[in-house]
Amino acid sequence: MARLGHRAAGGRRPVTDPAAHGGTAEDAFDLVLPSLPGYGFSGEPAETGWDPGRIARTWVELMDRLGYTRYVAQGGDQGAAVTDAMGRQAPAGLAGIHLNFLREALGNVGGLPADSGEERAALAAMNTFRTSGSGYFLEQATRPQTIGYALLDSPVALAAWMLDHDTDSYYTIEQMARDAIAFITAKELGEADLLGFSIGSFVAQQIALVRPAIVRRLVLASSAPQGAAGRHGWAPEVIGAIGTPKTSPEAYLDVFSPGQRPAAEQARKPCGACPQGLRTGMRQRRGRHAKPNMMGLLLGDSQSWAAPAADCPRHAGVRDERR
Amino acid sequence: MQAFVTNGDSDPMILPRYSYLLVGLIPRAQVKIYPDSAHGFLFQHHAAFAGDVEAFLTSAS
Repeated sequence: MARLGHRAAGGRRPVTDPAAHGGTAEDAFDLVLPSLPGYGFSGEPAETGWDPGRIARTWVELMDRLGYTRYVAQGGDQGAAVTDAMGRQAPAGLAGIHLNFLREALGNVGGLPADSGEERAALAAMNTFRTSGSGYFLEQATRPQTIGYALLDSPVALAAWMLDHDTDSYYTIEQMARDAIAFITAKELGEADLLGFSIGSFVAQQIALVRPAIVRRLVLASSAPQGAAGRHGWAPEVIGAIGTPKTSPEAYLDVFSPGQRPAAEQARKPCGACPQGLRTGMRQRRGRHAKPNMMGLLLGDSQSWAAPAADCPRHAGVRDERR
Repeated sequence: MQAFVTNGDSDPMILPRYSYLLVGLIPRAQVKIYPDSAHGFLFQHHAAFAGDVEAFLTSAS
């Protein structure tokens, strides 16, 4: 358990030291952050039965013993089930609860309202999670030892598992960079060599820009500087090849290997080095993404990351290149 | 920090000219453009690419 009291905390924290952030000292409150039994700082339970209701009763007892007579509870993920149970138990000191994960709703998607746009968007997000985002949960819940061997044995497996768990991390270059920085830092790798390809090269650049101290050498494959002129959109033939709902194998592959250009251009630019196996493999994988909308989201963010920024001094040199 | 910038000479997705632009902006950066290849250049020229990357990573700074 971590207890961040406003009397004890010397740091510049908005919650525990609001006076340093434009509030008043009376706005301050304590944060009590217990780890679920078996998680984080808590010990391994000696017997089964630590369901959300039992943990909720324990948290109420904990707050009572710590001397709090009025408090609110917040929970996400598994903690949301505990917080939900606290609300249902309604102990005397609990003034309210806040949840950022609706476990009950996830188990009852068919019974949820779909009248407003927001409700329909929430349903769509839950369906996406159920159909393509919850594999980690099944694996951990039913075959934990299998993934456990890989996580213990391989830093790459651990990184992939951590990134996959947070599917939002797929969608922005800045988030991917933050995840990679967190991983390099957590593994105490010191200086690392980074190799990034395409969107990954933007991530590698982003890491080098915000945390240069952890990068030794940088390999950038199919990359472009942030803010380069013309990087705000794809060429029409690229959009037509990969960005439309219906793509053709020939056009899609041509972006990756110039073997199927129009005959006239092929005669001018032969592709003797193109191995047929590469094209066959890509043909088989074409269009299989973790989520239906992943490609669009990623392409959109790679464009916004690379697009010229009008008022950023860091891009002044890049813009000058246009002249 | 040293950088090695690579691309295929016919990449329509991220044009090779951006590789040269990057190399001009990053101090002491090196560049290599692989022939007759596009966005999949590193798979097409995998042996050469892997060798070039290894040489870059193991070279004296």
